[in-house]
Amino acid sequence: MAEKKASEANRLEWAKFSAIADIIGSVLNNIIKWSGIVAVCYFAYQSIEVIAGKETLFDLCFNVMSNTKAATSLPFAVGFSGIGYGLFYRRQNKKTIEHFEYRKTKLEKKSDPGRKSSNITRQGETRPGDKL
Amino acid sequence: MIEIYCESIIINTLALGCLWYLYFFLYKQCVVDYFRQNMFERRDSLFDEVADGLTSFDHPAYGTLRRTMNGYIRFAHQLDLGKILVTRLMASYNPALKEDIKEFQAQIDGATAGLPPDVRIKIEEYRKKMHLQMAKHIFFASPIMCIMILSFALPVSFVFCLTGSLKRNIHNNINRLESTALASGY
Repeated sequence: MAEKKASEANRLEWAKFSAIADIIGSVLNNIIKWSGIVAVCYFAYQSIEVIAGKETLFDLCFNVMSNTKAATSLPFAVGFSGIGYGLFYRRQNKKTIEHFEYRKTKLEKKSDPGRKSSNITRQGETRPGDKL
Repeated sequence: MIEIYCESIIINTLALGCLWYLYFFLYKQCVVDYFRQNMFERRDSLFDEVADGLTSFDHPAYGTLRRTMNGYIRFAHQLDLGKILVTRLMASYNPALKEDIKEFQAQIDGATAGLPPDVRIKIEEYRKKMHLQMAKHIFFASPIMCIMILSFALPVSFVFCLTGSLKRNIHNNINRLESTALASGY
């Protein structure tokens, strides 16, 4: 009994420790992640600042849009189509997972009534409560 | 001239923004999904083998392994090199946790003690596959950081290897991760 209590205390201690490490790790990851886009915006701003006051923003945008060649827009069109295709396919995959998951769980529970679950969503995504 | 300059700014900003979104959102999601799918396959394969009579469903060896896999599947989105380094650093300052590192090893050893040798080998094989999957995931979840750290760590590891403590170090880190996954999988 005392051994079981000690094991339970260890488990809780690990879970607590893991949660703290998650928070610190998540803060560091978010700093790295968002500093990327901040750097992109900063360099874009620095570049625009050089030509500030020489022409209005509308004129510039209009001229750029009208002069953009197919050679530059085509790679972007291909890239965006690829992203769109990937996102669409991913959504379809999630639907398929959800479709089969219910039956699989039901069948497995027949053989193993004490079956433990990973507790992620039925579409195979991170549970909202586990996101940091 | 000024239009060409502007075009270049817009295109470069857009391209860098797209790359940022691809890496930090789409790529990371893809890596997590890939890891989860592989871990589900291992878990299902283990389930099938137990259903075929490898051992019983209420055996602690099966329970421990399944719960650990569940922990990995559930927290795959948080399993990256940054977090492992933070965990490693925090554990080194906590003497109580230093003792708990061996909890998983002790549990699996205790659970497999009464099993026939061939079953024990099978369980160990599943654990090794789990380790390989985890190592691949850690690398692909943060490839830039991994390459940066490895280029620094390899010469250091060589020195550690000479002193014989590298194997022990890796083993401790794996045990620490497994103990965390086991605690999360309950």
